[in-house]
Amino acid sequence: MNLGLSEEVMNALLPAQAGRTAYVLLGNSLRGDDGAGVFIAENLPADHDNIIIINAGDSPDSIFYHVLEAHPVKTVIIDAADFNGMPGEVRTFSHSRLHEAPMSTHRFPLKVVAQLIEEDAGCEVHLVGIQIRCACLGSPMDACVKKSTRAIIDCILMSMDVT
Amino acid sequence: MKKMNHKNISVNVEYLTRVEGHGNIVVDVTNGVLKKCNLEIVEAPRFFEAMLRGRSIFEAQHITSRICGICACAHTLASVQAAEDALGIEPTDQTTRLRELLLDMEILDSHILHIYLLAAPDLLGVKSFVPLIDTHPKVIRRALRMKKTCNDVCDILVGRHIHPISCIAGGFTKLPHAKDLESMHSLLMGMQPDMDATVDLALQLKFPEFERETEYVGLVNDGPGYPLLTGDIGSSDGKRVHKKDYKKVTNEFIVEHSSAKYARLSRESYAVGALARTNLNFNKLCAGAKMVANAATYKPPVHNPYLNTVAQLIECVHCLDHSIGIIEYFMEHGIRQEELMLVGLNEKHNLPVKAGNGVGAVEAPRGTLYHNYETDDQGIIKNANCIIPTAQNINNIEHDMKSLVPGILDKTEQEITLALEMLVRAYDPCISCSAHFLDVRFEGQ
Repeated sequence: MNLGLSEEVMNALLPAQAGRTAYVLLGNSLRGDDGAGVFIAENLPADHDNIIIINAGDSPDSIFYHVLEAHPVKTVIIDAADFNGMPGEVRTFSHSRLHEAPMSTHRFPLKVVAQLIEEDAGCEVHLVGIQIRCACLGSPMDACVKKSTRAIIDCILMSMDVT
Repeated sequence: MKKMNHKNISVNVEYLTRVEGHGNIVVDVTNGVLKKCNLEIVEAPRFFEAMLRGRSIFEAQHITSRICGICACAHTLASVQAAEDALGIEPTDQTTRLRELLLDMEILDSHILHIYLLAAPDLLGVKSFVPLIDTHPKVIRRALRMKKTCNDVCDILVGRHIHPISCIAGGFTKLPHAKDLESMHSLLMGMQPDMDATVDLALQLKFPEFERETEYVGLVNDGPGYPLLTGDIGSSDGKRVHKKDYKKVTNEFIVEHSSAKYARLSRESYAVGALARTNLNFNKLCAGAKMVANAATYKPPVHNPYLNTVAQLIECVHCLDHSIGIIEYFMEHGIRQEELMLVGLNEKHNLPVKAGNGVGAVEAPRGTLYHNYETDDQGIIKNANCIIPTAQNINNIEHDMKSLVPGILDKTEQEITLALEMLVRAYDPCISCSAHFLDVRFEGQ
């Protein structure tokens, strides 16, 4: 099945062959394409065998210890992103390439959470970004972005063997 | 390092992080004289009051909790208080205690984040929290662990770690059982070593020396407890009014350079928040909190706004102690499950409804929060007014800045900028929940 995802993205998305994989889905469904991660979470079955689905919404800090408690060998963090790509384009990248986002009590940088998971869970961490077109409050999700979220959902479902 | 030109200063410093929302600090010094020193708030209104119009008063708390992801519980509590006030409902003792527990968790959560994420980096001499991962690896994990504990207790108590769903006008739709009380107790007792370590860390921090006496405003009462949830509105200048008369306290006014309203009471400005609360109610703090204050040589009245972080630390110790006390009370006396309420939008008329005008006033982490709803005889909101703590503090921050700058003009640009940034950050302002940056700009001729 051709999902239109690059081999690099597929490798990042597919669960570990042995051990548990945690999928952390991030986003705000009130903000158009920013809700891509949450949309994926809502269209995946609950935890399945060695796969843990964590809908983190827009507070990645709250899931750090939840991921640790799951003892994953692989963690995949999926979020809307803006890397100057085409809307809906999906890329994977290292947390070291993330900018040091502005921090406040209301926001905790994903870069920090990803690094901490990698260090404390001792697992590989993959970041998968979906290029947004618009993340304005109240805007609908772009068709290209939604198509990519469907591809990611299908990819994970195939690995769960529940398609 | 370049020293400031005292006569004509023209410096642009790109953004200050670790402040929620978008505002600018504009400083203009000409011929060595401070001409302008403004905190310009440029956020657009978010129209939550307009969203409330036409909605049932029984769903107001679900809407207003979305005003802020950190102060969601305080907004919920102010909202249900206002609703109950409008409807003429008196909460039970059990409801009040459980609400106090909820508010304790939110204040603890918010203060921990401010102390570790926003204040500590300045005081440890690093640009942000991120470098602390390598230099202070235990610190970052401790902060997250403490935050998780607060979130987990909220989850057990009100069904979510933010945006509570079971806290409603009249009581709770879900009440904790014995095993829930044990879980919350275990979580909070387990937090004690982290709290001790937090105190040890915070006591090592050195704060800038600066004082400006202002008026401090917060809830006050005649009872023995530290007033966070109920009470009149009091000030350090001797004012005391019923919460219904909150507008006599806030006296909102507008200025040209800000989209946020300003507030004042007896003086040119007033402050709310942890510093104000500890100044007003220090004697009502628990013994452990007073011990921490003593160790920090924190002796109210304190007029150094930078020490708001110390006040937050003191409140953290108090809230942890107080919350454990509430849970132990219920472990001993039990929860009256018959008080559980299922109201929804009151379709079944479980609660009597009448036209009314209600006010809620609670101490949110950053200070006194007001919700005011006017309803018709069907419980539909006709008018709403929400005044958040930061809106009350902005005027005071600006006056602090005006007092601070002339005394530090001999400092370098970088030092002045850092002093101003730290001053603003000390208030932990929530300029809006749609955040950008705060630019610091010096203007000169």
